[in-house]
Amino acid sequence: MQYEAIMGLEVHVELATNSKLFCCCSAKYGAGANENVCPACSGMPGLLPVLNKNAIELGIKAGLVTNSEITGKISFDKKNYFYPDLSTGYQITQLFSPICKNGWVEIETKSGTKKIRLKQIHIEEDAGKLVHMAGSSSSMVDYNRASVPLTEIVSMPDFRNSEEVVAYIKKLQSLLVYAGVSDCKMHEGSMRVDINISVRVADGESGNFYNKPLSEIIPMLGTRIELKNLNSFKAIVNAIEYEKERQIEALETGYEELVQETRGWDEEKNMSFSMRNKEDATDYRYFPNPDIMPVIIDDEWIEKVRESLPELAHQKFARFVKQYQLSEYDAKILTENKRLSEIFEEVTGYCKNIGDAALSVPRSDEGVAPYIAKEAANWLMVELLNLVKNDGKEIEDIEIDCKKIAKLIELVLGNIINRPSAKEIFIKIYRENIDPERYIKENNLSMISDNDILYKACEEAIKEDPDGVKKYKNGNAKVLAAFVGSVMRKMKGKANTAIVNEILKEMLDKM
Amino acid sequence: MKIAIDDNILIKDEICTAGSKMLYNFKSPYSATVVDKIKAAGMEIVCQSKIGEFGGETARDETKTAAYAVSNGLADTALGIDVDGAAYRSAIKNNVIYIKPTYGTVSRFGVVANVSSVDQIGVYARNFDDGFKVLEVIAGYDKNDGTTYPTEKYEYNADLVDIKSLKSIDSPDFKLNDYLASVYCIISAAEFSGNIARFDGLKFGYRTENFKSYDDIVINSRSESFTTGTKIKSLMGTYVLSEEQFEKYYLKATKIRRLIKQELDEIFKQYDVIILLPCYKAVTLANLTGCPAIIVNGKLIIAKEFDENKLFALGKSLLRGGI
Amino acid sequence: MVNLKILESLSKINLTDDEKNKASEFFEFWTEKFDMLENIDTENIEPLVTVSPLVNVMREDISNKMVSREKLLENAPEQNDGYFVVPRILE
Repeated sequence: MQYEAIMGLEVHVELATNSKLFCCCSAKYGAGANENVCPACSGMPGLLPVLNKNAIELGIKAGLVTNSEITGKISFDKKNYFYPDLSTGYQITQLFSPICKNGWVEIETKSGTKKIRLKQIHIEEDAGKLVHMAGSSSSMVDYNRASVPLTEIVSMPDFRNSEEVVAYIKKLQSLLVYAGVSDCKMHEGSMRVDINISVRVADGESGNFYNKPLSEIIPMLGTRIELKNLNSFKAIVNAIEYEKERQIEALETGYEELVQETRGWDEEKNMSFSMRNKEDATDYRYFPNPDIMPVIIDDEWIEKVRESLPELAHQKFARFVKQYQLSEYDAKILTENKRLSEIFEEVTGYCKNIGDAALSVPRSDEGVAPYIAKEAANWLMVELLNLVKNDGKEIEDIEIDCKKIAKLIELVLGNIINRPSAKEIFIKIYRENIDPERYIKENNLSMISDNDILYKACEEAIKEDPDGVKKYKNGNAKVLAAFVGSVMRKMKGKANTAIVNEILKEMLDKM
Repeated sequence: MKIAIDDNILIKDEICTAGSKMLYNFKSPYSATVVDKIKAAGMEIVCQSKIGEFGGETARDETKTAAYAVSNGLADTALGIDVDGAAYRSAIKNNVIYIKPTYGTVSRFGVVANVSSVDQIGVYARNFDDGFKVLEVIAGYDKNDGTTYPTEKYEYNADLVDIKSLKSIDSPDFKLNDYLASVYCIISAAEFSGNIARFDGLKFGYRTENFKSYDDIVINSRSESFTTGTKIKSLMGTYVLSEEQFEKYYLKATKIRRLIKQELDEIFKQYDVIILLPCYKAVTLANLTGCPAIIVNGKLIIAKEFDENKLFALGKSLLRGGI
Repeated sequence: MVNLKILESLSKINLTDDEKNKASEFFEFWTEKFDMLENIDTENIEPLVTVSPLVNVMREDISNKMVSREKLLENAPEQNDGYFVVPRILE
């Protein structure tokens, strides 16, 4: 029996506002406990909610970048339940009139392009945070996060595997970060992913789900489990794989009964576990909040917001290809992450001075020459991304001096240093913010460009290895690398390998 | 001008109990907008008058109420919201006048919320000149209350109205008369239950000593401090909003509320003021529709939104005998 | 008959036996009246949530501090190091 997993995602993102959704407290991350709290968001009596206009506009932006319909008249509702992190005893959300509907997001996987349909996007308040004290029966409550604006993006059950889920989340991050809606940092909690997953017999029907509304799909699905608290891509992938297996096994063996429930993910034990959900099976008694007046979003307002959207990823991608003549592959990687694209442009901005005296290349008045852009792209796509990844960091969190990188590029392209040295310097810039020129001087890394010295070293290397010469003459071109290595050792690494290569080849060919 | 302020209108650094054991020790960290306005106008707050829990029901000690204070000269005027007719009844009992302004003219910022779509701070006084003078001070747009109209300042002037031309009607036929009480009960219970959910013994106020779990703290703090009336009202609110009853009761009531408003508006096309006996139905009509109302000579008189001047003029003439 | 137990649980309120009797009476009285509401035709009538006709009441996205943390925690039955303390939480 073949089974398939059907998944839908509920993604919460914190909106990038200055203040909270319904009060003037700061919405910024990182303050001390209850520093960003006022009588309103800590549930004291007598306060009234006053809606943050920017939150609505960011909601509209989220709708625009996801091709959604923007609802013409929206209002806010009370969702009632008791929990310590909910200071007023209700969460203000949008049940009856979500701000956006029926959008979609295009993703790319190994299997090609796919459209993920969105059911809706709505705006709601976040809750505070509960901190459990170790070795104590007490808990501590911090309302800093209470009433911070969230958008919840609800997808249709259009996902079939973890690759699609990861691609979707990355795409959402790109769309929302570029639009300025949220910084989407999973590790900081400004993006939270919940996955609804069920399994069913792979009877070929699920291909038709993409044309069906939710009401027709749901009866065709198995028992739905909600996976929560997935804080990283790794957790998401592992949790999906584990849960799929668990559900299939349950169906096949009957040892475990599948119940509709919420499950958390234990990264250490690598398993999901049942959560006693605070919201399990309770009647929320939603009703419209009479203190908040409806918001009419007309076409004029939508257009104004649309015009205020900054350059989006796909627009930047097209521009990078055209302006810098980068390959689509390179442009894609550079623009996937907004910060990376900004670093790239800052570096190439400083590189505009390269290319006249230093390299005898005609200076392009329109900006940086394509081969320089390519050089910058390579350093960022390969070296920088690797460093960031190995440090376990996000590119948004690092500081890097783009002027120094531009300088490094100038030195490499000008043959002042060779690539292995450049790599070493790049790492030093990243870690210690060293000045490349000073570092080169202090460590004597300048390449020897005096050809006489190079010729002499090449002659020596050839003389020392007659066998190697024979091999080369017999057609073994690979042995050239050994000669180059030998010369580099003699030069203590301070030679341009490309030039050495040329000289050796010239000499060997003449022999 | 000496003013008494009901205990559910918050005054910074004062203990404001809203008549409830739940808030027996609540020292308010901020003042209601109307309190700031009163102070800025140089008026003297002489006392915090007592109310029943959250304004409903009567205060235990009637000699501490706003209407009593005004009646006996302890204060010239007093501020208080009407909950389920309690203010109207108290005004009549103490032989003072009461003015409830159009919904949205006076800020509710700093008022312990009861029925959000109904609550309005009204004024108790011995005469209408005093009453409307105070109303002028407290009325006006407040950025902290999203339900206030954008009008910065209201001016009330009885002389602008020609009494003789006022068309009034006594207890008119009202098609939806039999449904007024139900609609009001449903909506007020629903909103009230939502508004008191914040009282859980965690952040402020009364906390039970009787608990083994978080649930215990919440349940017992609430149960040990709320009056029976509050508890039952809250349960009713929960009931009419529950999944099974929502459409039949809450949603239905809000739709009929629109019909009630429409029917009232029809009457106001022909008449300027409606004179009613202040029974529960009259109270619900005045409060559900947000229309301005006055209590004078044992009657409840309502006018169209923003027609306070008509009530001012009529009230003055009815009261020419004085109190 | 209305299930008071569920309502008590949802409202986080416990009634005494005497209160339960009063509540039952209250519910019986009012639900009978409520049921009459279905006599009114409300087809195509929009609910009236608030009598105010205002729309688009919003504020600019500016943050400011209303009260200090000390003042905020002044009324807390229990606090520790800037946090509200909740004894005996679940989980």
